[in-house]
Amino acid sequence: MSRPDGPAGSSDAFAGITVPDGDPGAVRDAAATFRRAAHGLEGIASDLRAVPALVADWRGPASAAWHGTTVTNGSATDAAVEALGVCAQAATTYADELERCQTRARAAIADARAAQARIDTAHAAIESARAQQRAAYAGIDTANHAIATHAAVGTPAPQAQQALASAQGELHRAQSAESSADGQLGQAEADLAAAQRQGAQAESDAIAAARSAAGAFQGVAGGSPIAAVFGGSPAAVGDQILARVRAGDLSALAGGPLNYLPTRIQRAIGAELADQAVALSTDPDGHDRFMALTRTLGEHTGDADLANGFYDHLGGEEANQLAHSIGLFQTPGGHGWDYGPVQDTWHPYAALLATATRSGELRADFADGFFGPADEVGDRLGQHPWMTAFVMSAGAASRYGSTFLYRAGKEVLIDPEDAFNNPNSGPLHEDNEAFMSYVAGNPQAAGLLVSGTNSHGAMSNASTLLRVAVGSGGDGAGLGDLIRAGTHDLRATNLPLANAAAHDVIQATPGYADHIPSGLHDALTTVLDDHIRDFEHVATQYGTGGDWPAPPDAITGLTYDEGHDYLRTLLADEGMRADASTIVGDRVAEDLFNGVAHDSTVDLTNGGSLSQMGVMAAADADMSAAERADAMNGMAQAAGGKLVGLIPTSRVPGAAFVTDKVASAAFGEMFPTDAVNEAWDAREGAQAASYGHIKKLITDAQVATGQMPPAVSDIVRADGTVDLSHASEVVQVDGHDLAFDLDHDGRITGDEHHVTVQALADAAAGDSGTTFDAVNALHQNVYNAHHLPDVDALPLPDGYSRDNPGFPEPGAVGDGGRERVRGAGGRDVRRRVDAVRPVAARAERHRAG
Amino acid sequence: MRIEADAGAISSAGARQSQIATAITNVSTDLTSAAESGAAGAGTPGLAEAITGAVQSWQGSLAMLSTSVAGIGRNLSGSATAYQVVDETAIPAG
Repeated sequence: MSRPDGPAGSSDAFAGITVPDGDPGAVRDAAATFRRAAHGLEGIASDLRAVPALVADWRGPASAAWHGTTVTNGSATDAAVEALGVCAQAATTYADELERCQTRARAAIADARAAQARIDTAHAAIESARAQQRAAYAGIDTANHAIATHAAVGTPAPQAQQALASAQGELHRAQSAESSADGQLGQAEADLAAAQRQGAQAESDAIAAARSAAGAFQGVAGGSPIAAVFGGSPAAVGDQILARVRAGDLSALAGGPLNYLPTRIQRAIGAELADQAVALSTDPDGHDRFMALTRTLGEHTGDADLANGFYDHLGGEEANQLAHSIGLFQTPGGHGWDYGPVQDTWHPYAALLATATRSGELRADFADGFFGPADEVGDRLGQHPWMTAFVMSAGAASRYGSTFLYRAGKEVLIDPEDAFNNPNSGPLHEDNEAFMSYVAGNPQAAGLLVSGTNSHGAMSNASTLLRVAVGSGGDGAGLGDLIRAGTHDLRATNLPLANAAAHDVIQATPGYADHIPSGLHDALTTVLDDHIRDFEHVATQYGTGGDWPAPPDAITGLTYDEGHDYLRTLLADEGMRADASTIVGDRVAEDLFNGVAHDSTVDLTNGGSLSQMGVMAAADADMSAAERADAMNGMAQAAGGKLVGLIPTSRVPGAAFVTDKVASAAFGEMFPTDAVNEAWDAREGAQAASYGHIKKLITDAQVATGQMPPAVSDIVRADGTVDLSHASEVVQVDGHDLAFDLDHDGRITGDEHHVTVQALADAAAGDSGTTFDAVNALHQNVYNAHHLPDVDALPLPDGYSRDNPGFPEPGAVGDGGRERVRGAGGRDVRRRVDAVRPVAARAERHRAG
Repeated sequence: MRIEADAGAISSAGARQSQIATAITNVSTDLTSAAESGAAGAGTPGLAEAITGAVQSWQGSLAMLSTSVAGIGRNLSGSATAYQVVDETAIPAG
């Protein structure tokens, strides 16, 4: 038994009946909008006609001319009102008719379902009746056989006679039942056919209604003033242009408003032009026509529908062949692919490709077809020079979709260096500097490229790119541009991707520390500058062992070791040392200033931690003593200068309290050259006392930021100690008792009206003492508890080596808890190992407090 | 030739025309939603294209109208200024 087509249970289609597509509600919404717009324009027409009344007394030629324009524009507005009214009516009529047709189709489907159910029932009844008939015939045969057997021997067979009569009755009833079911089946099939006719009619009526409505809308379009300019409605004009293009008449596109045409026609024009371009690009006799086509395309490179039609039609593989053919078409001969005529001819095609890739509507398999399988890149290396030249001929890289441009970069820069994709070629060292600089013009593509990995994720792209740059012998400027774009420029639009790219650069760079080309210096120090707060955060986490909140928008997963190694690499490089030192010093100074200005132990701890990372990185860096001193001094000077710049001098009476000299002295102690060079021993004894300079610095900063009166500078000496020789005396300022809100409660109360030297000293100790202790504790804690330097790993002064038997001699007995080792030249190198405990405990108290 | 002009009134008329031009642009912008909902509910590609085409055509036309009205508004304002300048400078005060 066969069933009518259509999915069982579907409410929109059954037995060949479908409910016409469309949404009457949406069409009515459109009608309502048309109506509102028409109403709005009616008001505007009235407003236009009312304007002349504002200048009723105006007389003269200009007045007459102007009155003429009001009539013209008023008429144009009236025409718009009428057109939009037609649109509203056409939409309403269509929505009503569509709804009726859909209702009729649904009713027909319901009828058809009911008829089908009856058909099924009738078929079953017929089948049952036939089975009953077969059983009756069998009963008749059996009875007749028994009757005949008995007759042969002359005996009656009354039971057989009874069975025969019964079977004949069953047969008659079954035949009647079949006949009845046949009748029902016929009626049901007729009903199904009627339902199908009703459904077909409903669908046909909906199509007719749509055509009628479309005619109305096309009439409205064709009657518009702009259609008068362009020659008809969009569809009519488009069909004419398409027909002319197909006939080879490119003049139809000259200066034409392609965006005025329906999308399908623009795409069809693109496809037609693609076919013509392919044919002409290899036709020696078609040179002039090909160039005419190229010029025509050049006028429409920004048209996304035409571009998609062009390249969707070709597909990636044929687009690649077309681009190559065009390049050969201009036969560069002894010229390179950047030869002007080649570039000029490529430009429209590349620009059109860029537009298509940026539209997001290009077919999904295009890039695969254009570039080919990654694991066959070894066969395509010879294509890369013309391919990159073609891509770059489009103009600005921002015209391309970032995914496509990333794919181009992967094809040229990454896949050939991937042993899996190209096992036989090894490092290629192709000159792709210009191409990398080009891709940098699209920061998103640059970010994708720098943050990716090779085919099996075994090596980051950043590492691959750095390896090639280091090995090429060039200045690496192209990669510098790429890194800067992907890690820095991209921050404005895609921070997570920029962070991921920066993280990969931070991880990869130390592996190539010995030969970083100069063209990378600016990009790499910019990464440090952008992420100095991230470095500071991991340094604080590591130094304190605490769970400190990450700065906003931080790199996810950055570790202390990664930050340390990256900073070490930059400090070791002569071309980046100064900038890296300045970045670290500036940030430490900002932390110190914020710590003082806001009484923030967190900021001070951050600053201390970052200074430690800077010191440790310098200690580990492969550089001479002079270079190390340069790095440390650079950080100290930068920090000092920055802090002086941050202090508002307007609040400092007479002259700046915080001088370069004081700041330099203080930060010189935070970035100790001697300690690094001499394995820290110079720090240990004098370290705590030496922070007097920092205390003085902090006190001065508190004065400058208004937290303490200037008079406190008279009692806190330059070395941080306090002069209490006149402790009980009231501090005099301009002949008056000093009054100051020492407890910062917003009021001057009690003894604050007559501040004594002792009270001032106590307040200074309470404020600057806390911050001073935080810095000091953090310093010692980090230095001695968590990051005890590996003396053996530190660089040696000139003239010494690890093989020198005089160095080192471990095992000497420590004194007072100090471990003594023999340093270079026989000096004692001591490391403090136990004195840290009370200091660490104090730091813990500060954190808890 | 008789010329009569109230510079202030002409300037006001210019400003009014500029306002009207903006109103025309706003109506044109509203039509975009009509094209979107109409095309979405059309049911056939042909009708969807026709609705979009009609809206695009009239949006283009209204843009032309708006440009015209705004331009005339600017000309009115310029005329008002010109009338005033000429009137004030034609005969220098003795």
